[in-house]
Amino acid sequence: MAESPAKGTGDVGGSIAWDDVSVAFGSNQVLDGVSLSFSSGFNGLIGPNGAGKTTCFNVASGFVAPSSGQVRLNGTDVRGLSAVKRSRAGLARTFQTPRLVLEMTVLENVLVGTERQHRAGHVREVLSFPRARREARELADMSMDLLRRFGLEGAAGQRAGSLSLGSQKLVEVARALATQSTVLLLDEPAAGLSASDTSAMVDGLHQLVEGTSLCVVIVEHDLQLIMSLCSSVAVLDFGRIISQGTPEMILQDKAVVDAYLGAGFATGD
Amino acid sequence: MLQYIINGLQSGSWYSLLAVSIVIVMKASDVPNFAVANMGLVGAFLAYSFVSAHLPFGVAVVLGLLGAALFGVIIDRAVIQRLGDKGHFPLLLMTIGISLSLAAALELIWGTNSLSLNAPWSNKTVHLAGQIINWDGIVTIATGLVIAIAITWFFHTTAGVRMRAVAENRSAARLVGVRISRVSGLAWGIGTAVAALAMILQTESSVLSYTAGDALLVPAFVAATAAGFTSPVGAYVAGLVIGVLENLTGGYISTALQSVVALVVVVLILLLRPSGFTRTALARREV
Repeated sequence: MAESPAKGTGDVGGSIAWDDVSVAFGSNQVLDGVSLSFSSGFNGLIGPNGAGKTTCFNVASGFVAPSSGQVRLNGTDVRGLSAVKRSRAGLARTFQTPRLVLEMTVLENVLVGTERQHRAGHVREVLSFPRARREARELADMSMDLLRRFGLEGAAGQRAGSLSLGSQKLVEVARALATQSTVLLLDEPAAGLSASDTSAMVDGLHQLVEGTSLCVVIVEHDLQLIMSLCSSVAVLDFGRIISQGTPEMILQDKAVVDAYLGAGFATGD
Repeated sequence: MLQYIINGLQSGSWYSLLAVSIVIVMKASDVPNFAVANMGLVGAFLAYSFVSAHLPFGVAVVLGLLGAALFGVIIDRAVIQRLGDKGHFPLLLMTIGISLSLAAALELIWGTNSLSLNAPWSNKTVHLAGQIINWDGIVTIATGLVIAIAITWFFHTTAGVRMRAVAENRSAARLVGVRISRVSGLAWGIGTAVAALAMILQTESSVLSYTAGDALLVPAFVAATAAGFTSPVGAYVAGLVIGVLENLTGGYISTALQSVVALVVVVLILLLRPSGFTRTALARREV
């Protein structure tokens, strides 16, 4: 049985906050003073295409440097940290297009995500000391359990590149969970997934996240998924936060309806 | 015929081990290590010095391999990682520079005379199928096979999986917190130790000098090329094939053509399958 993703990080709830973050690419202002915070549980970040959602994730994970503002991971300013160090500090993310190691098996891809749990050391590992062998078995069991939660145990030995896009996305989510991070950023995890893959993903996330302190932020255009899964939702438009609150509040916010949802969504038409 | 094949498997094992070393380093650092033979010679010269200090041969070899591994880690930390973000060409030039510098350093420290690194089995023979076989050959072939199996096993351990992840998709590995610098250091350490083993086996059956690695470099790179610089098993098998082909060519056609075999093989590979013949290399090409 795998540990809950956030178990290894103690009882401190995961949180992430963007404080007055701005990003400009030349004359194009992508984020304009974004202030936003999420804590434990499922959170949604929505908005029209080009609103700056993925840029928020890129700033948080260290792929894009903001022109001003800061990102706090579990309360700590991570401005000076590289992408690797942010990952090791407890931040995991996925991408719109999965970034798996296509030549490796599905299980091996998830196993790479267990890097932070690695304690035995390389020398013990190379010399196959008992402690290293035991640790390797435990990490493999944990990875396999994660795959099982997403209905992928049968594909564990397959080359990741041979899977459908939907299954690759599930593997990427499993790999992100294998890092036992406190904050998980999922960039359009349901895009391109079949109904059954989406269902497998939601079920797996529910099992692995509920009851833990993990903070999950989901960027997604599937609004039904966001509204049913998330307890807190923020809306970006033209690089600015125009609303944040519970799904019910978002659905009734006129600014959100005008900018993104359209009147039909709010009325259920 | 059998004699030529066994001799070919022996020299092929030297090529194979060096090719495996090239593949290991390539996987972690994405650079073809042209210093592989001379870095391996560091381990061979260290082993020679320990034998000269009256240590048992086995102990001397182990210390030589450990010294070589440490040297590999130092080269990685001091040079390779500092150039890591400068692209392939500076790194490639750096490995050539390391090779030339090492040749000069080895000449300066151990001199220009050919030295003898005698193993307990040196000059001993065994009769096999009507042929007289040197124990050198048997030990070399067996060692090469054991190392090939061990390296293949290693790439399926968690450390090996991380190394493959770095090789195939560096940004994906970095994304989940894999420390590239550690993986790189591990690869250079193991790779240099394997290269040292190749050079110890080669110089133990002939002579040890600062130029001992020169003749092995081209066939080793051809073997690594055949494996698409990705598959240790492919590199091992290709090294053996080149060794056997060289010896059959030398035996049945002309010894003058022996050194041309590797070059013919590399031309054929580049014409027919530039990405190599192994499954991994082919799969990578399909992506």
